[in-house]
Amino acid sequence: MEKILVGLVEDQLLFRKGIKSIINSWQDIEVVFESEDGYSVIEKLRAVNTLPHVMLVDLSLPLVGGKEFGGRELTTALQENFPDVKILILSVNQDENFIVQLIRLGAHGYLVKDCDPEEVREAILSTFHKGAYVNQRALRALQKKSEKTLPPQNLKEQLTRREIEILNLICEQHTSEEIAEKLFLSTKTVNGHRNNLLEKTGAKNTAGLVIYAVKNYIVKV
Amino acid sequence: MKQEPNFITLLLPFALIVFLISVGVILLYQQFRKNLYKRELEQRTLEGKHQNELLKASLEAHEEERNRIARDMHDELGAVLSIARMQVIQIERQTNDPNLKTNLKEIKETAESALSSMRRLTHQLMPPLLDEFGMIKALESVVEKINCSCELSIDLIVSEDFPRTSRVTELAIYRVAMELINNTLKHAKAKRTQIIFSVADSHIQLFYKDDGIGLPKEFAPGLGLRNIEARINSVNGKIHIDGEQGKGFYADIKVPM
Repeated sequence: MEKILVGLVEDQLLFRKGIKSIINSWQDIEVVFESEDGYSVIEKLRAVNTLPHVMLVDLSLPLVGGKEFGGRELTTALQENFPDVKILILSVNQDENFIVQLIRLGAHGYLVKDCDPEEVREAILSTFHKGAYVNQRALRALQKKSEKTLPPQNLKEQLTRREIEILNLICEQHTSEEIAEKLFLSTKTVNGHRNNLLEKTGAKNTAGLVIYAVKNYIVKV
Repeated sequence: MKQEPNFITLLLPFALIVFLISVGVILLYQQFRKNLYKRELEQRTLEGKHQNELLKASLEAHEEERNRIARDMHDELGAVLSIARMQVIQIERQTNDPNLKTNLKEIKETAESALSSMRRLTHQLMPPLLDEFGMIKALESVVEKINCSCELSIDLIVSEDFPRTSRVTELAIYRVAMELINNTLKHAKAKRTQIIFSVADSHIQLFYKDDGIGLPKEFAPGLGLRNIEARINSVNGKIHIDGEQGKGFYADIKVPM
């Protein structure tokens, strides 16, 4: 079985060591990359042979030349340089504003540091296999923040009933294969619908679709 | 007889000279007084300015220190406590010994309580939202918590086009709003509070009102209110407070953007 390769970007040494030993205790996941700051990550990643699949990134990281280079900056930089690498934020901050901001920037999930280690595992598996991890806390944050800031768009009407159905199932974290089975369709057809959804909503990945769905009240939480 | 007019003609110019000199002296003296007064006035405004600058500098140094402590505590202590908790949970899962399980559960709860104290303390020192999202978001999060506790119901109303402004100004207004809320919670016996933020003539306006017991008849401003005034002064703002006994407390604040 292929192992999921994980990278850690965390300046607090004890936390980094601790989370590393917890992650390495799981047989299907392995830590292959570590950095104690954000600004050197892109360069370091260019030098490695195999990229991590999932990066666990802290929000507050050391400054570089008096300037911020934290989880926000790194999320943007990773997407520009390594769009296939998934980003899971792991921060002490539990405020909804931070969660929404990071997901909007393109992070594939947001975990609070005092979560259960099992949730870390679940999040890594989910981002690797399904492209995103959205827990209750993040969904609630997205829903609340979008209520105020975004007027409902009329794009919703342009989605077909099938597409909305599939979008709902994607939000429930089903894979294309599972959706195909549920709706008695071929995987190819489901993927076709998924592509249409990406095109119509302008989303780049599954996380983007989930956000779109929440913003437009297509899924209820 | 011939000498008398001579005496007068001699005396008259002399008297005239004395008169002119005394007038000159008086004028000079007045001028001198005027100048002195003017200089004193200048010095006093300079002193006032200086005092305000000192106040500003001391407040800024104070806030910077708070910020550094809060950040360190939040990031370092938060991370260490979190990982300790995670490690305890891991061992708790692996063991079958019921006694050990109970002990570990207690340690976990201790870590959780330490984490929540840490969050509360750092929040008081420096709200984590302030820098990134501004004073309105920071206040929204505080108001949400207070409204949840049901002790007091706060309506925070912010005009739609309300802008972000400098860090110093936002911090000052945030601290003032927090002090006002704390006063209401502590002394006012109020049920509702209204906080309205708006912008007019490049000034930020904060209107604060509660339905509590108001100010006592012989009211002497305490440390809290003096702090509020100092804060507002430090950002060149103006504050007006009022609170007739039994009619609630009211504050009107104007700060240039």
